[in-house]
Amino acid sequence: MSDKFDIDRLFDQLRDSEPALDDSFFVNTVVSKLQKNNDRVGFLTKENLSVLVAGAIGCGVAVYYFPAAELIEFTQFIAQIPTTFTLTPTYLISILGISSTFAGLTYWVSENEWSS
Amino acid sequence: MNEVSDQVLIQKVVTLDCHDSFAGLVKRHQSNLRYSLRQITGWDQALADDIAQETFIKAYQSISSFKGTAKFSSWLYRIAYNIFVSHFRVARNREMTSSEAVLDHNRGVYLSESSDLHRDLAKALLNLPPKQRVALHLHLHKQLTHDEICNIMEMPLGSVKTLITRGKKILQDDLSSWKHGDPT
Repeated sequence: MSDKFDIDRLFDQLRDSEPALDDSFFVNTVVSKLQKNNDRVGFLTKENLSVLVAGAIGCGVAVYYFPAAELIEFTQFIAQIPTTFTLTPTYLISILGISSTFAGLTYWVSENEWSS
Repeated sequence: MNEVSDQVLIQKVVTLDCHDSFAGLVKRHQSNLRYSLRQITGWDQALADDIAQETFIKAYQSISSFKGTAKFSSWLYRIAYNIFVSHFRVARNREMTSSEAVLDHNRGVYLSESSDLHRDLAKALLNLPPKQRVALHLHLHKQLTHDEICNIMEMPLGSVKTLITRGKKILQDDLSSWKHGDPT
């Protein structure tokens, strides 16, 4: 007699006796979570909309009472934007350093569990 | 019996945001998915149900992206697999996962004759790495084709075949020793 365990036969047996898990509580839990999610999305949409409307009103009021545009020379502002771009080794190393740090931080955050 | 197809229910969820139709889909697929998750989590019912719930919520949120080229159940399994893998990625940083704790506690388990067989096999599967566990369960228990497993696990065919072959060998050796009363 072979010592090998008949794994296929075991799985056949498992398939034949696979239990049907009770659904009522599970389905209700999922559906109630969906409802909560929808409510949350609705709340966030309303909140964002209020912030946008308030921001627009604020900008309107600021422009009306504080003519900032007239105080800033637009041509001077444009002149401050660099027209040429030189890639020096120091600059390149700085960019690599910053992006590596950022990537490392992102990986570290994603690998750690943050629970409230 | 005139049962509405998955596709019809999905269409209603997409177009009408119908929670009842989605509940119908959950009702239809929950038992299979929860059972599979129990098998690959060492019969950790709480963890399996948490992953299953998250799977259905994610499925609801992205149901409009379901193209219908594969079976809905396969699509669900793919979401569940990703959640399962990310759970173990997070748990890897801890000293011991809850499933590993269960394994340690039940290392001396013997194969039962009937009802506990499902639970015992789930514990035996814990000896395998998570990806091997999933591939083996989908192949041997759910009898999915290699292509379907590739699609769910988003892995090349060769890797899936290797996972299954190696996993089957390890499981076979483990079960042989357990059967002969020499659990290690």
